[in-house]
Amino acid sequence: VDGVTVARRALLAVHLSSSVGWMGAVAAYLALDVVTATRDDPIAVRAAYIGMGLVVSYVVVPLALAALGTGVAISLATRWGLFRHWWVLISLLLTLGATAVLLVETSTINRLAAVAADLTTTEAQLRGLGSTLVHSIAGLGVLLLITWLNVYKPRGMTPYGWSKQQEEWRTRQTRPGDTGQPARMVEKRRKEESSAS
Amino acid sequence: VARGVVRGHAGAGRISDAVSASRPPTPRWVKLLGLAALVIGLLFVLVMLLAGGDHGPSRHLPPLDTAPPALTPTGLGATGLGWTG
Repeated sequence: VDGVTVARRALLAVHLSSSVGWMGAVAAYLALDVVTATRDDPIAVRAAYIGMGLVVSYVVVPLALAALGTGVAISLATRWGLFRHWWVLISLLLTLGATAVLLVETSTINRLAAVAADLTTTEAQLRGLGSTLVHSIAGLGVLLLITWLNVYKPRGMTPYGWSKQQEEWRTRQTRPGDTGQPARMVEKRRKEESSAS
Repeated sequence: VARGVVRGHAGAGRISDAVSASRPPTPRWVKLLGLAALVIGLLFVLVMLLAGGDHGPSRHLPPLDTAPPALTPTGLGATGLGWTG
């Protein structure tokens, strides 16, 4: 196993950990969000808002940025590329969108947490703060969709990916002795031919 | 569309897909996802228009005179709960 393979595997491990961690953190956030939307107990609601601020700022945002960064790095470091396959491109767009909405929402969530942490905030004001439930449910849905795309990798090349593949195919065909097939297939075919003769 | 399919190119299993003589059509699942995104986008615009251009919990917040206070995960401020700026 060479150094490049080790680096790729390490990158993949970080990507998987941060992506799954991102989803788990959003699920934890969702639990707190449900408390703010459904409970009447002011202590629980106040604590939930404060927890939401901490979870978003110190867990969700770092994991989202790590998942995005490592995802882009893996795509560029492997044959998948960023724009060659529909599932990679759509995953990238969804991750970028989710991260952008998350970063915008973070300031709002921190303000909610600050208002809830202020003991001069009355119970009526606390109840009127509202929740981010719609955003967190939609966000979790988007993360599940990205996971589905990454696990099943549905087939389909983008026009860009198709033209790049054609280019590579033509380049390989012009090389003498290169059939464009992987070495193990060439070896297998050679064995079959020798056994047949 | 007649397609000449050669498998095993680039030696990476599914990653290679098929090498075709003509550009492959956009897969059906991509079209369905695009349609779903379009419907959600239109619904979002409709909700924004009905809500007067504002949505989300920020509409409940009082306007801030100062910048949002910084979060401190361990710090306890004067209120005993942190986020005292």
